[in-house]
Order: sequence, then structure tokens, then C-alpha cells
Amino acid sequence: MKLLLQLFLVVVFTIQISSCEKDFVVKEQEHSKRMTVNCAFNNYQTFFVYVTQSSSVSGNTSLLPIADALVELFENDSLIEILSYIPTDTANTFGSYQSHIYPSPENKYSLKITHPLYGVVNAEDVMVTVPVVNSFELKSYGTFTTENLVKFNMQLKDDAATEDFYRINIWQWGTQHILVDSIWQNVEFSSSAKPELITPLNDTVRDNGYFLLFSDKNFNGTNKDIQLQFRGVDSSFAEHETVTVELVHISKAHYEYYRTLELYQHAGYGAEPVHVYNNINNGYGIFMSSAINSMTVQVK
Amino acid sequence: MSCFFTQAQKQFTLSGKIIADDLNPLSNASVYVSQFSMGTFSDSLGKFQLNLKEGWNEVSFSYIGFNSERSNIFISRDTTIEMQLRTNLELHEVTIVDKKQLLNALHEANGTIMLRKENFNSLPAFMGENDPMRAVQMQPGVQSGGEGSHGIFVRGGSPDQNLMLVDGAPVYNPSHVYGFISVFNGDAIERIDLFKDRYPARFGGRLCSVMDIKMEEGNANKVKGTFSFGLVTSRFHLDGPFTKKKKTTFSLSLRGCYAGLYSSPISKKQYKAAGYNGNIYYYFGDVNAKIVHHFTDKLKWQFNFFTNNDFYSFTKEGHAKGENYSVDNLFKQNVRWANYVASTALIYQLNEHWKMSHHFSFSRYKIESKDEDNYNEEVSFNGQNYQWHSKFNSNNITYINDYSWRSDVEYGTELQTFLFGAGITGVNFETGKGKSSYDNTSFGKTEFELISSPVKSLDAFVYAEDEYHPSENWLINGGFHLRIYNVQQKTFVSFLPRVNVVYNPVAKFYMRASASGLSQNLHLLATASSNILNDYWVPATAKAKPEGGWNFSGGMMQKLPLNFEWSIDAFYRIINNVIEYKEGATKASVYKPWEEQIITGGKGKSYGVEFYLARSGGRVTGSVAYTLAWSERKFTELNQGNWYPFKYDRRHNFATQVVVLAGKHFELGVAWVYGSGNMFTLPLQNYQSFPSVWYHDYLISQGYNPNGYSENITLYTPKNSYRLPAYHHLDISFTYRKRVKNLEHAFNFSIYNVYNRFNQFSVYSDVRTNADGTRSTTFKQLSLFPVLPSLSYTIKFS
Repeated sequence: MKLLLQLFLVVVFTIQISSCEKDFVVKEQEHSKRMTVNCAFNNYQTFFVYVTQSSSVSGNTSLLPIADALVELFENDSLIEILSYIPTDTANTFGSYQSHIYPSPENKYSLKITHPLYGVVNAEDVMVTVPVVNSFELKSYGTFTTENLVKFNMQLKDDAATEDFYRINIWQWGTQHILVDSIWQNVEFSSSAKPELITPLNDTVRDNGYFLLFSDKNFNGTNKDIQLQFRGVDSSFAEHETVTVELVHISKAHYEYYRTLELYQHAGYGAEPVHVYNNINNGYGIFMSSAINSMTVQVK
Repeated sequence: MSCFFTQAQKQFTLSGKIIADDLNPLSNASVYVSQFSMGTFSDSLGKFQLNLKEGWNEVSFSYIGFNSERSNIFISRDTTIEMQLRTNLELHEVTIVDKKQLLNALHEANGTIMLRKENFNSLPAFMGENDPMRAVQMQPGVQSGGEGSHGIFVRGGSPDQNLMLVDGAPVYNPSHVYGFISVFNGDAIERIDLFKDRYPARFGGRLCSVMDIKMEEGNANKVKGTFSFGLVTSRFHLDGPFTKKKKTTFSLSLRGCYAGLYSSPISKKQYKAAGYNGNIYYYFGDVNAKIVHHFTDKLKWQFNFFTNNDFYSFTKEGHAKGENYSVDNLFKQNVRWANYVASTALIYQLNEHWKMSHHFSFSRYKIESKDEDNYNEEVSFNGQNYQWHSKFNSNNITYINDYSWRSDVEYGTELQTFLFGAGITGVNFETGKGKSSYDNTSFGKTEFELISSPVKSLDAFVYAEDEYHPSENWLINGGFHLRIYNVQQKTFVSFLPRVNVVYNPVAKFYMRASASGLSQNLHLLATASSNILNDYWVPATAKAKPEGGWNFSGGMMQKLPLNFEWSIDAFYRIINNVIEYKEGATKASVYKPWEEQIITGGKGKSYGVEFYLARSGGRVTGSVAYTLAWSERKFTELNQGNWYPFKYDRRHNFATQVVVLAGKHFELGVAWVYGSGNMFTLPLQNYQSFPSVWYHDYLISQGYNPNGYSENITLYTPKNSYRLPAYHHLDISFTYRKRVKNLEHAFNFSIYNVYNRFNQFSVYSDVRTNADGTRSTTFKQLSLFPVLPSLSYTIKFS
């Protein structure tokens, strides 16, 4: 019995000196630090390129901007501009490399970004063409009793030769007569709206739960009628209200980025890892094109 | 079967069958002709064949635990006999205590591996337990899945792909507390036949291997028992006849584990030292019982019952407070799981050639888990207090109920054994029923309730199998297994041909090849996380169709002098209709039904080569097994449509053991296993997303920089491309046995994981708020079993 007791104490002591939990160090996490490059360019804007550093998932997760990179922009493999870093706050917390050039349809644009610490990263995407809208019609503008639903029809012309992707953005602005500090006042408003489909579409994705992305999977090469609606501001009190519907032709990279980003954002507790689409060579992020066809309607 | 072939001079053939007093065939029984110093062993069906000269031959028949028989046979023509050996457990007792040699696992020429009680008992004990599954894991091509894994992994397969039958009843969970010890109590098991090279047509329903486990029937002479007391487990076994007529025997085994008595205070102390409140404990208990009744010499009935129950609890509570912040975190996990297995069989030997059996079985496997994760944070910044909290709760129950019936008929002659049969299985599969809720400051409270109805299926089969010896150098086993699976009003039919050929070109050298069509009506949903506890089984359904595939295997083996043998085998397996989680899917049964979260129609392949060298008998036995293997998966929607490593792709697997019998009383066992780590999708980096267009364009138009409106994205390695650290440990065991009158005493001292290897059980991230308010993440590795010495005392009485 004494022997058993002594051996028992040996067991307890031995197990005590052995912790069951320890740090799990992965060299690959630290060695994978790269530049992050994000740029979405379209026919209405010059290039805004955001360059930041990534951070290992172990340790502090601050993602600091990189202000001392050399950012070169190429069009069809020819250098057309070196972008300057423009800080937008005194702390230099935010900032971007800005171009003065608008992209032209069907040209290939490339970025080459060089940094003494992170080396060279590259990215490219082809500027898509402006989508063709055969017709656009505001069908109805809601009232308080119809939940302010704004309905419209649109017919787009899809190119048969290519696999195409689109998005629909909706903006609205105007003035609204509302009570502020017990006084009726006219206040300017501007907001985005969430497009809701009446006509079913394929492969739909939401940009941060809002704007709608889809593919031409089931209407490739045809004229596609799309019926949409959105919930407008309370029309009883709105004046000079304007709605802009943008049909945006987007590149495949653009679509894949938001498709995977949506999966990533909806991945809950303990979810399977999501690989967010990334087209930056030797780095992380996205370089993606879009072309906007904008239709504006004064509704009130 | 392996010893079917003899190279004696051709004269007349003596063939026959060796059976036990319960009519079961005795495989590997010795047949020896003393005047010519020649002999052979019976095959898995108890059959043997010898070529003898004309005249009188003195033939001895022997088998461990049975009285030897000697017979003078006059040979003047080809002769067939049947020899029945009677158990002699007194002799068996003496053999164990004063044994002259050890026996290793028997590798038959046709690829079947047979393990007997002696093989389990020779290996180093873990916590005083001689686990039969550890003996299985020492065989080539068989791996444990790593620290705390459930079941075995055969040739790059997953644990769901192994059919485990206990007296004909399927067992769905083979492990106690996270692989701590298997549910199979060595006291209660007579033998295990492992099929991984070939798949006899009588088996079906799995893609990788079959483990056919026979429970001990109990001796017919007198009541005998064993009591074993260890620091962590204790067990009791009793077997014998019910009546003086000895027509009915019983076997009862009980086992309990009280590891929680130690783990609870130790873990509390460890966590306290690390700045937490924490507690880990687990318990289990199991029962094996078997009754056999012989109505006549040729008709017997048996009933088997087997259950095991486990309970595991883990709590970790942390609190951190700084000048400007305070964080409280609580995580709790309770898991209970159990097997309930019962089977009954009627076995009838009609005559010398015909045998018939009918089996009915019930098997239930149930898991119930409760998780709770609370996080509260309070931060002061610029004179303002910010609070954030999240709370996650989940209760979940899954179970499988399996009702099976099968009938088999066997017809045997000297050169041929023909089997045919049919069966049907009804399965109720509850993949998850429960509630969960998630509540945090940002999004409020969300509750989920999953009320799923069990998936009910019917699985019927017919088979025919023929084993034929066209000449003394050839053995051919062929047949088919036809399976019809009905689920959700859809029927799937699989016709599965099987063939196995063994060729014996020179003495004791064998070449073998097999091809098997396979199907499986179960899937394993494996997560990409490192934690194997998140893997679970789901049934094949109309959407997740049954998996099918082919297994090809070929190899050679040679028996050498002094009981040495070696073998090399190569294998290639292809599988279709495998399933996988979609990216972003959450562990099934918590938020959405699992079928909405899977990708179907995937392909799988496993291939590799195994090397085995062993000494299978003598005072020193041992084996070295090495497997080099690949296991991959392919889905159009994952990894850009390219092949990627399966979670259980383990490139190298090495297992070696040596057991030494020193004198009459001492036995020393040493075992070392090594396996490449499992594959894992590792989070690598965080990086900034592109701000949403609906912010970005607006902010640009208003003259603001939108970069502050982006979020962090976590970048992962490509799917399952990071290999976790290798799993290995060295175990030693020392046993002293002494017999005093009718009592046999055995003291066992063993050390598991001698050099205290921290084998990874799971990897998780620990997020902490720093003094400056920023957050940092540390990855932690949890190991279950450090160096574990154990002591047990066993007494056998009769």
C-alpha cells in the first residue's frame, strides 16, 4: 500500500510538471508578411491605390499604411504614371496613392509597387466596357402606405462573346422636411439604397449586404429585362428627390472578390476558413475594374 | 490460408478442418507429422492440407488453450478428416505463466492480419490497460489519428471508412475519452481479424478496412476471473459455465476509468498558475457480456451485449484587468457519448460440409455536447467607457440507431469454400438536434433551433464468395457484394466485384494481388480546423450520395527461419462522391442543416506502400512497420479545382515494438510510434479589405479618404496545406507474473510517452487585450497526454 501511495505521488508530480498547454509557434505566420494593395478603378474616377502592410495573425493586429512605396501604373504594359502618396490626415493614418488618369475601356492596367522591405508586388486587370442599357423606366414611386417601395425596369444588352458580371448600385438624395429640435426644417439627405430583385437573377452576391452583384449565366448574349425595387426615403416629406441607378459592368476579379468577401463576412463562430479572392502577386488585396452606366431620375 | 501451401513430395493429400468444441474453426492451429518433421497451420476457416507418404503417419494437432490431440492415420489415398480440439484452460493458465514463447500478430499470405489476446497483452500498457486497438495500430498501413483521435486510420482513409464488427454488430465509436483508450476491453476479446488488403465479399458498407472482432465466449470447465486495479482504471472479468452440464457459458467484463479524480485538481492548479480558473476531467465505464448456449454439438446460440459511456468536461475562465480595461472570458464544454451494442446469433453445423448462421444486432451511438463561450470587455478611452460582450451557447445531440439482420450459409470441401448470404440494415441517423444562441453588443441576440428529423435508411445486401485452390500453389478468392441502399425515397444500387489471388512460387514466399469494388453509405464531414473533435458522421442521402470506389492492392511476403517474416504491399484507392464543407460553413447542426453546408461529388484517392518486418514467435518478438502514403481530395469548388491533401494525409507512419520474455516471470515491452502530423488550414496574416463600394464612392465624392472604412481579412494557407507537427511517443512496460496455487498475480508498471512529447491535440487562438488597448493573438497548442507512468495489479483466479 505504501508503495502504491508513493507511486501515485510520482504520477501526480510528473503530470504536474508537464503542462498540457503551450504556445504554438508557426514560422510561416511571421514570414508571410506582405504588402496589401487595394484598388477599384472605374470610368468615373482616377486610380486610388491603398497600400498597407499585413500583420501576422499572432501578435498585434494593427495594419499600418505604407507611405514610402514606389507605385507605378502601366497601361497595356507601358508605364504611364508614377503615383504620389496623398495623406488625408495629419497623423498620416489614412492615405492613398492617387493617379490623374482615367482608365479606358478594354485596356489592360497593371500596378507595380516596390518597397525596400516588402519587395515588388504586381497586379493587373482589364478595364471593362461600359454596359449597354437598352431602356430604363421608373415604374412607380411608393408612398407611406406602400412602404415607400420604388420600382423600376431596366433592359441590359449582354455581350455573347464573354462571360460578364454586373452590379447595381442605387443612390438617392434630396431634401427632407423633418422636425429638428421641435422645428420643421429642410435637411439635405443622401444615401444608398439596397436593390431588391423582382426578376430572379443568377449567382447573386451582396457588397456588404447592400449593392447587388450577379452574372450573365442564364442570359448570356441576350437582352435581359430586370425588374428591381428598393425602399426609398419617406416620400411624404421628401423634396427634390433624385434617384441614381448605376448598372456597373464589373471584371471577374471584381465579382470574385465580393463573392468571397461575402462568404467571409457571413462566416460565423467556428466556421470553415474562407479564402478571399486575391489577385496581387507577392502580396494581398485586390485590383479590380468596373465601368458604370448611370441613370438618374428626378422623382419629386 | 497462408500455410495452405506445402512443398512436400507429392504422394497423397491429407486435408481437413480443425474446430473447437464450440464448432468454431480454429485458425493457425498446428498440424505436425513428427516422423517427417513437417507440418502446417490451419487457415482462417480452420482448414489445412498436407502431402504425406503412403503408410502410417503420426499427426499431432495443437492450439493454444486447447488440449493437443495425436492421431495415427494410415494414408493410402487422399484423405479428409475433421479434428475437434477441447479447451483446456488449466493448461492455458500454466501456458501464460510459464510460457516458453510469445506470439506476435499473425500475417496471413492473403493479407489478413489476425491478432489474439496474447498480442494485446504483450504490448506496453497505457494507464495499465492492454488496449487491443494499440496492437492493431502497430500493423503496417494502420495509424492512430494523433493525440486524442477516435478510431484508426487505414491507408490514408478516415475513421468512418473502417467497418468494426463485434460479433457481427457494427460499432460506430471505437474510442474512449478522445482516443485515450479504445472501447474494446482486452479481457473480453478473443481475437481480431483485420482485412485491409482484400475485402471478402461477405463484408460491405465501408471503403477502407474491416475489423472483425470476436468476443470471448467463456470457458466451459469452471468459473474463472480476473480483477485488475490500476491508478486510473480498474476492471473485472468473470467467465465460465452456468451449469454443471456445461452447455451454457458466460463471459462478463466490467471496466471503469476515474482519471477525473486526478485531472480535476491537477488541471485546476495548472490553470491557476497560468492565471486562469480551469478544470478538466473525464470518466468512463463499460460493460461486455456474452452468453453462449450449445443446444447440441452442432447447434449453438449466443447473445452479446456491450456498452460504454464517457463524460468529459473542460472549463477555462480568464480575467484580465489593466488601468483602462477589464476583460472576462469563460469557456465551458461538456461532452457525453456512449455505445450500446447487442447482438444475438444462431449457428448450425448441418453436416460436414454445410454450416448456417443467423445474426440480429442493434447498435446505438449517441453524443451529447454543451458549449458555452462568454466574453466581456470594458475599455476606457478619452474619458468614455466602452463595453463589448458576446455570449455563445450551444446544446447538441446526435445519434445513430442501427438494426441489422443477416444470414450466411457456408459450404466447404477440400478444395473449395463457398459462402453466400443476405442481410438488411435499418439506420436512423440523427445528425443534430439542439439549440444555440449568440448574443453580442454589435448585433444583438440571435437564437437558432435545429429540429431535424432523423434520416431513415434501409440498406440490403446479398453476396456470394468462393475460395478455390486450383493447385497447391494458387489460391483464388472471388465473389461479389450487391448492395441496395434506400434513403429519402431514392434507391442506390452498387454491384461490387471482389477478387484476391495468392501465388506461392517457392516455399514460404507468397505473392498476392486484390481488387475490390467498395461502397459506403456514410460520410465523414471533416472540418479544416486542427481539432478532430469537430469531425462527424452523416448518412448518405439523396443529395450526398453514397461513396463508391475501388481498392487495388498487391504485395509479397516471405516467412523466414526463426519465425521472422517480411512483407511489402502497395495500394491504390479511388473514391467518388465524397463530400466536404463549403468555405464559410459553420460546424453543421448548429446554424443550418448540414446538407445546406456541403459540397458534393468530390473525388478522393489514396496510394502508398507498406513495409513490414517481424519476428512472430519466440522469447523475443517484435515488428517494424513503415507506411509511405498520400491521401488527396478534389472538388471543383475548392482550392481552384485542384487536388489538395486530405486532412488525414499522413506521409510517414512508423511503428515498432519489441517484447522480451525474460525467465518465467518477467516480460518487457517497448513500443514507439511516429506519424506525420495531420493537414490543417492555417491562418497566416491579417490584411486590409477594400472598403465597400457603397462607402468608397460616396466618401470619395465627399472628399474623404475611405481607407478607414475597411475591415481586416484573415489570410489562410491553401486548403489543408499546413502539416501539423509529427505525432510520436515511446512507451515501455514491465510485467511480473507469478502463479501461486490457483491464483496468478501480475504487476505491471508502464510509462506512456517516456520522453514527454507534447503531441498536438488542438490548436486555437487566444485573443488578449494589451495594456494600451490594442489586441494581440497568441496561438496555443493543447496536448492531452504528457508522460504518464501507471501501475496496475491483476489477479486471475479460478
